[in-house]
Formats: sequence, C-alpha cells, structure tokens
Amino acid sequence: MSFSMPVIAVRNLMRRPLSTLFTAIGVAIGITAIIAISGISKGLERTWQRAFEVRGADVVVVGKGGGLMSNWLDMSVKDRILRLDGVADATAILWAMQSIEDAPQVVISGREWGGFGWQNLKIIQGRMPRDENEKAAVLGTTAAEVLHKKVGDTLQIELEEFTITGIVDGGAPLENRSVTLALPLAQKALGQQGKVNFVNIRLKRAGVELAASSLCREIESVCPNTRATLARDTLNSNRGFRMLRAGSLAITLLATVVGVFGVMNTMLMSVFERTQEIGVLSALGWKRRRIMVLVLLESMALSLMGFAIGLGAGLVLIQVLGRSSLLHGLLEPYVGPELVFIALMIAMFVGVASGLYPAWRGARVSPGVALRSS
Amino acid sequence: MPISPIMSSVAVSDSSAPAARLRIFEAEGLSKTYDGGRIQALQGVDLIIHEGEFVAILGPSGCGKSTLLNLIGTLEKPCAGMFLYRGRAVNDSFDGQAYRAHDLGFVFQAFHLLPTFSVIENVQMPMFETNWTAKERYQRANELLRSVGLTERLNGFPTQLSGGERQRVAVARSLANRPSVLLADEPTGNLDSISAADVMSLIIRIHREQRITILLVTHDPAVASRASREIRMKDGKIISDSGGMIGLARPHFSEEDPQ
Repeated sequence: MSFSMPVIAVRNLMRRPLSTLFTAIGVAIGITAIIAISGISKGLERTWQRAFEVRGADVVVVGKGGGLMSNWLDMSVKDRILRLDGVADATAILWAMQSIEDAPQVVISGREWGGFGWQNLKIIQGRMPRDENEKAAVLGTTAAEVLHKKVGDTLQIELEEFTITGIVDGGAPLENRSVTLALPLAQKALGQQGKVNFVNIRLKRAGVELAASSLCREIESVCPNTRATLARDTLNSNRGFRMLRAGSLAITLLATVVGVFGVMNTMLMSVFERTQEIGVLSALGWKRRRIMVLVLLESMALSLMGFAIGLGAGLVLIQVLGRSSLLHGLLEPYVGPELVFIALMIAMFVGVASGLYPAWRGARVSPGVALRSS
Repeated sequence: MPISPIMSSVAVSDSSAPAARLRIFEAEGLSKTYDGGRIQALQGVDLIIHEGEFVAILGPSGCGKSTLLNLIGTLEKPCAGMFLYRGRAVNDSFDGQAYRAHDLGFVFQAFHLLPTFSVIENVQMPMFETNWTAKERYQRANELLRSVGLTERLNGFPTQLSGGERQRVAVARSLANRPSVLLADEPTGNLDSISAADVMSLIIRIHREQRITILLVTHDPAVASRASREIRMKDGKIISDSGGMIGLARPHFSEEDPQ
C-alpha cells in the first residue's frame, strides 16, 4: 500500500495500540448496544406483526392503555362491533404471556370457538379440541419444544389442567410459541371471565383504506376505551412498542454521545502528546487543513474500528439471544442492512464529531512554540 | 560509504562568487520577546542575506541565534521590525506554510524525525504539500537517501539509526521539495565529532552542488568557520558580520544590493 494520509493516520493510531484498542472497544460497546437493542426492537415488531398478519385480521381492536399487552375489553364489545356496517366477521381473543410449568414466557391464546382465529393453525400431530368444552389445548411447535410436551401430555395453567390434543403450525414464530385453547377455558384459567384483549375484524371490503379508517373511528365511538387500527398499524399505536422504540432511540443517542466523548478524549490526549511532531509537520510546510484532516482521519479510523468490533459483537449477541429458550419464538431478532447502515453512519458521525475539536487544537499548534519546548 | 551527488535542479557554479547578488532575506529592526516582554531574545536585528550565501550564525546559548532562524523560517512571528523574503513582506498576509513547504528546508539539532515512520517515509513527509504522486514521492525520497549514503537504511526506523545517520535523514528530508534555502539549527549539536564532520561535509556539499542559500546556527566556531560568511550574535544583537553588513549599510528593502 502506498504511503498516504490514511496510512499515516492508522500508523499513528497503532503507536499506542492499547489506548486505541480500549477506545475502539468503548465505541464498539455503543455499537453493540445499538445493534442489539434495535435488532431486538425491530425483531419484536416483525415477530408480532407477522402474528397479526397470519391471523387474517383487517382491523384490530384493543383496550386503550396498557403496555405491550393492551387493557382488557369486555366481550360485549365484539357484539357491538359485529352490528356495524362494513364488518364481515369479528372474533375475540384473549392473549397473555406468562411462564407455564418450567417454561419461561409462553403465550396463552384463548380463541373463540368457531371464530376465524383458529384458521391459521395447521395440525401437525394429533387433533384439534372437539369443542369448546373439552379441557384441551393445542401447542405451537416452539411451545411444545420449550414445554417439553407431546400429544397426550397434560398441561397445568394456573389451577387448571388441560390435555394436549395436538401440535400445530401457526405460520408465524409467535403463533408457534402459543398454547391455544377455547376462549372460555382460557378466561377461566386466567381468572378473566368475560374479558378479552383483542377483537380481530374482517371487513366486507378489505383493502379499501378509507372505509377501514372510518370504521375504526366508528368502532372507537361506539365502544369507548377501545383503540381500533388497521392490522398493520397496530404496533405503531401500541404504547409498549412506542416505549421500546423510544428506549432504543435513547440508547442510540447515549451510545453516540459516549462514543463521541470517548474518542475525543483519546484524540485530544494523542494531539497533546504529539504537539512537537505536529509542530515538525507544520515546520515542514503542512497546512493547517492537512493537520486537521490527519487528526480527523485518525478519529474516523478509531470509530470505524469500533464499528467493526461492535457490529461483530452485536451480531453474535443477537444470534445468542434469538436462540435462547427465553426468547425463541417470542421475538426473532432482526438486523437488516438498514440497521447496519445506520450503525455505520453513527460510527462515522462519532468519528467526525469527536475529531473536530482535537483537529482544531492540532491545527493551532505553533511550530515555533512546539519546537522550542523540545 | 558511496555518496552520490545531491540532485539539483539549479546549475552548479562557484559558491564563492555569487553573480547576481540577489537579496533573498532582508530584515530591519527585527525583535522578539518572550514571557510578556521579560525575555528579549532578539533586539532590533538588521540583516541582508543574498541568494546562494552560506551563512553561519554564531554565538553562545541564549544569544538569539535560533530565534532569528525561527523568524526567518516563519516558525514564529516577530514582535517588531520588518522582514522580506525575495522582496515580499513576510507579514500576516504572507503564506508561511506554502513558503516553508516550497522554499525552505529545515534541519534541527534534535533531528525531529517521526519515530513511527520509516526512514523513507520520513523523507516523504514534506512532499505531501506538493503535487507529487505517491510513486514520485517514493522515488524522490529513495534518490535523496541514496545521495546522503543511506540506501541500506530505507526501511529502518529512526530509533534504529545512529545520531549521524538520523541527521543525514533529516538533511535528505529538508531537500525533499527542492528548497532554495536550507535553515539548519545546530545540526551538529547532538553529534559526536566524527558524525558532526560527516554532516557538515554533507551540508557543504549541498551548498556547493546546488547553490542553495544556507543559514546555519551554531555555537561551535569550528563549524562556523566552514561557512562563507559568519555572523556573530550576543544578547539578541548582531555584534559582527564577516559579510560586512554590520555598521556599513542598512537594508533599504529594494531588489538590488546598494554595493
């Protein structure tokens, strides 16, 4: 490689390898945090969104308030919705996430018997419950895995015991981590008689967005304390997801600020230590601009090094998290090219922002003063 | 040690008889103080230096000789007085960095080579401000190092070299951009007598072959005696000048020497 400014910058960084490494690790931790939290946040959104999609709803009605899980709705809400013009079908769902027996965080999904909520579940083994009175449940494939259950086993939910009649493929990771049973059984087991937290609606004229939007407003007016949205917008209006996104943004900002100050500190130390050398370069005719460019190249290289380490560590962390039984199926972490690009942009920003002040200090070094001090 | 001629873009002629007598530097009342005026490093120095001269500035420590060299090299700004380079006023609107890059070569007592970079890389450092390609920079540095007898040390690092070798690298670096003036501040001050003689011979050879104007600061009369003109300083003033300027004629800031 020919001797050029980037080579000079990298060589200067390699002069104090430990300091460079530790600073790069500081940036890397930030990038890892950004990749992990954004990957989890995005993965959770995609996983949940996919579950909404496979359930085949056009509009989703939830109780106002609450976090990731919305507040409870009275079953009567569904009947009021069904009476509205434009609604083809509606089905109520009770949804809860809790640990069952030894397994952490499994979805309990109580679905109205005969409703379209069951349609996406394809039997792989065994059978569906005979009717809504049979004390039976079907398990998604991941749920069967984490619960270590097979067809014919029993399952304890709170004080109630259920027979597992079948293993199903729900067509989405979250559906596959679900224990699905008839709605009244789930309501009883969870002590929420007459309550649901989702009403999934199919429209007569699906795809007519304006009609759907006006129906949503109508639902909200006839059923106070509900929030009705197009299925694909459900997560955008979910307070839990909004908080997750805000948290993700906060961590990104925090990591950026910490990165900027970390790299700035190292670069300032480096510039102060090299005052005499910078003075020599200035004496040799290097323009201030070139000295600034050199310092900026160094801070950029440092940040990019941090980016590379952080991206690698972030991807490994995401893989490990995604495979852990705690999260498997609940969320499939997702790191797309846009997230990698954003992380790269953040690293570049850290490089430039952290290098500006040290570069300015470097460019202000008076060659005479620097050389006299030697 | 085979040493090839210093590459020159200037015709070689007899150094003892500069034909044109063009003034390269003119200074009048040049003063410099430090520490808020408590230290008077230079007190109203008047000086004319002609192109092609080899001037030794001699004096004890603290006499202001290095300060004078720093002002000429625009490494520092004078507190008072006027200073011209080839008739152009060296003031705030003067581009000192371009002047240092294109017209000057520096050799320092402490060598000031960059320790992280190899010998050949050090020599290339000044060339980043000129329009050399990477290949040309390398070739030029290679030729310069050959000319100072360091062909075997191209990829060595400054810490692996002796003092004399380091100063020869510094001399090669000072010639990188084909300067018209070489400013050498105690170039033999950190060297043993053999290396010092070696470096002085190199500087004299550069002067002889390239007709570069050389200003060499030293406190060693033996070193100074090898220059064609000797300026003695004491307490920030010039006390004698073998070039005959002192007390004879004051610079009048014109293109032609009045003599």
